[in-house]
Amino acid sequence: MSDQIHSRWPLKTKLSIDLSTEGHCGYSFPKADVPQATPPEKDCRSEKLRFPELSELSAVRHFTRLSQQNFSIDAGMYPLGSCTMKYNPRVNEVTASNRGFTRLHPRTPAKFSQGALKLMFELENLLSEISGLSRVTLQPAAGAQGEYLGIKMIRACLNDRGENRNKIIIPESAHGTNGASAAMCGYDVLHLKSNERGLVDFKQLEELTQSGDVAGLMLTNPNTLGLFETDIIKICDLIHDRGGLVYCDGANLNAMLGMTRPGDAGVDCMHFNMHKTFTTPHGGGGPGCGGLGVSKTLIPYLPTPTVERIPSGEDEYHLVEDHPQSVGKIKDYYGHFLMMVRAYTYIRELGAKGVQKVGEDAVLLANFVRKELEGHYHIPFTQACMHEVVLTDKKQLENGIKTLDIAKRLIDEGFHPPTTYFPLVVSGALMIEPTETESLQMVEHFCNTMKLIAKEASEENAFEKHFKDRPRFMSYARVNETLAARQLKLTWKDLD
Amino acid sequence: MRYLPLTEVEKDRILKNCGVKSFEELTSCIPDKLRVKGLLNLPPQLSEAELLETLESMSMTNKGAWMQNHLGQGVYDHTYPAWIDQIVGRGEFLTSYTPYQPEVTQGTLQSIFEFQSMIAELYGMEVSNASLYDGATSVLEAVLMATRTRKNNKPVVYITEGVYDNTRKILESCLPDMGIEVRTWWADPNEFKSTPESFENDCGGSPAAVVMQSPNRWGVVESWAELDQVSQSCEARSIAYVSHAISPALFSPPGEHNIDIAVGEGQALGIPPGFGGPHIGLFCCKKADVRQMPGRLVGRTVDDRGQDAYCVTLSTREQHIRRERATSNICSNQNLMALRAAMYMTSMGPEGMNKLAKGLRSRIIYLKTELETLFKDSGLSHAVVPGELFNELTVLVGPKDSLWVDEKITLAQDQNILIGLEIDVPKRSGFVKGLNIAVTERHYKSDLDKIVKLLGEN
Repeated sequence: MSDQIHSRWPLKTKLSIDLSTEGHCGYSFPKADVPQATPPEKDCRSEKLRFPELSELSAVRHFTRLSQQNFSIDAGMYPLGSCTMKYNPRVNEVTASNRGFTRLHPRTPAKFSQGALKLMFELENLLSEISGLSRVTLQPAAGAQGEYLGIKMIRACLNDRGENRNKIIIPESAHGTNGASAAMCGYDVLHLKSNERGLVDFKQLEELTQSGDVAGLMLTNPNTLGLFETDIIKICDLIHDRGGLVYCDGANLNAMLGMTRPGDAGVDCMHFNMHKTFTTPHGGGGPGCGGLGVSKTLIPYLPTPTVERIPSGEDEYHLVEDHPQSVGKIKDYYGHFLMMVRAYTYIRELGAKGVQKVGEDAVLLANFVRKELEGHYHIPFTQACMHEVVLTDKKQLENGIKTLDIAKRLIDEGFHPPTTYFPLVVSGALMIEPTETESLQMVEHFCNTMKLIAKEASEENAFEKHFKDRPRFMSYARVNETLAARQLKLTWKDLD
Repeated sequence: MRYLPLTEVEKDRILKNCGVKSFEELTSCIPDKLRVKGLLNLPPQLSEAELLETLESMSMTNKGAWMQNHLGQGVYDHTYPAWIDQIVGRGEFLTSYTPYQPEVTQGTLQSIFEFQSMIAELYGMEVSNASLYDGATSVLEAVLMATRTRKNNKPVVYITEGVYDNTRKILESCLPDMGIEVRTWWADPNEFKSTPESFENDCGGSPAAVVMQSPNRWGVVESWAELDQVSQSCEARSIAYVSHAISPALFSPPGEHNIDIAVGEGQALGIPPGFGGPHIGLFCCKKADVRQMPGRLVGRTVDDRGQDAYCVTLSTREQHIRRERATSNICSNQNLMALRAAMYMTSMGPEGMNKLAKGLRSRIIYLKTELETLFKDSGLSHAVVPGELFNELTVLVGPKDSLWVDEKITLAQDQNILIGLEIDVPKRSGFVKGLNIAVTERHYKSDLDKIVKLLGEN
């Protein structure tokens, strides 16, 4: 039926299964020129797969139309705090698509995979220099797995010291993953409050660490309020004195690039989010790539294998499995290699000056937003911020307009909303991170839009006039998330 | 700098706005002691042309990417439609954020819904999530989920001997942290697969979970029906580990055998080997257990105009809400890989999947037949693993031929062939080593004849 396969503007598409015509197939196979085997005697699939049957054009058109329902960095600004939605350079995509990288099997002998090993070795060294940490592993599949690995290595190190500590301290402002990662390593979580300046409450930290059962602290720096933990040296010293180790969440590393290094402050390990700091694509939610940098103390516990240069001094590399104190493997093979190619390409393009300018510009633009929106929105912590600034809906709430309304209103102005209701320590948070790749004109335009929305929110009958039924200009209106959870429809079989 | 548009004039304007004289003053929160003095020690900046050149030459030293490739053990150099690279590369997919704002991410959401539908269909299961990192870590998550739902059983998991080496290592390094012990369900040394009899002989107690991999590390297809039988006998959760995503297009999928959790590697679905990643972990379960599932889920709903729409659902399982009580610490899915897999399956359709599966099996059976003839004719005591095969086989060698595998691997390299991988085999079988050989649809009869000839040379 023609109305099944066609829609007018805006160009949408049905589920692929509803576009199906029996007998269509979108792929050409190399000819199997061996004798055809008789089918297996038993245990054959009983029913035909219920997959769509589409010609190549139908499939291409379907996914092209799907893509057009997405907002993206390529299409507009994404001021999402803590997500570092910077430009993903296209040249990264080209370098990562070299056949020598894509078609390379992970078990290829070292003599036929030298370029890949060299790239990993060099990327580890670049990240080590950037973070001030002694050694880097690229094995974690994503930031969350980097966190998990860091905590696992802390545990292994403490076990070697004969200590069986069972608690990890996590500030209340931390990302939710921190707690989940610590739990996966078998730790109980102690929560640490922020002080009135939005920073670690040192006195409370002293109290929490007195008992001697604390394995370590997971600290996000700059924290999720966009603030640099000024006391970081003192904090690291305290944890070390009390026999623990310090994990730094590297989610906000972009703010520190070329400016200051977590390793110099005394942290023992930190994960990298390549998709934030080093421009691998966000991809609508993954894949990530999350290396982990460690201090000298933790080097023996790195996961296997490690990439090493052959000591003879030649430009030759190999994988080493033999590390008796290693925590073992946490991820198949060596991590998300093709993402590493992208991160490597990016750092090589920047050089030292570029890396420094990234950090500086990210901080400058966030502070520009802070100054511009001061007075229009409540800003709970007024000191200079790093790469992101947290606002709240406190002022607007007086007139019944909440953070969610502001977020959905922004969509109609062509912006992705900021991070909302996070960090949890601030009520009604709007967390804004412009990133260094946005031009000042664009950031200024964003601020003006935010001011316009603040003005609308202050008007009489504001909700009815300006915020109801937002977004209005998209192909889709507000999506009913409650219904989705109440009547679970997770596959097309559930729609029958 | 083309990615960094802020000019000196603009920088001064911002500093002035902020009421400070210098960037250092603006960032006075950073202790002086911690400020990087001067520039980091990084290699010089490269232009785009230099970058392309540098990375291309690095990639070209990876000679393995141009050799005839029979390496397997979970990663395969399959073909896929060229348009996938092009359409996945659209900025709207590539540079979109996690779809927490459903109004502006319907493209990602609908494609995940289609992915979930096709994976659940492929595995014959009720529910699939939006993907996890890879096959191996999906097994790990499955064991964690199983033990959460079998709290009265012993925190023990049995895994078949035929589970990949890497997967076993990951389980052994991660599960003890959670107090879970990993034990082996040994294989029958004559069949090279685990059986209910071999379980009865060696295993016992009331484990929380039993994991079976099929096809197993030696290439042999195992039986989900027997996994179900064994796990029912000890009231454990059954976990099917589907090592090759095309195999359930031909062989009876886990869902046809009452399996509780079915996981696997999806790299064969349109994702290149990429020196080990990113690939994709597939994760399915029964609807009754969906609230214990790790990872992201997308559901269908409606928008305020009554149109069909999609959104992330049951997020209260996830770390960003549940924190340390979440079902997993995972924040991402392998989204671009899930998209590739969805595109691949959409291209293939049911007939394509079936045809590919049959073609792979025909090639491996041809290779097996030729090798068995060769070993018989030349009087070699080598054997090929018995039983049903899919895309991989293992040549078994005895104690007096223990150097043979290594010699053949080297000999093949001289002819530009990566002939396979040396793997362990159960010593109880009387063999000491195995040469694991994989085939894909890239291999013609002539390629297979070439490796048979090579293995027959003295």
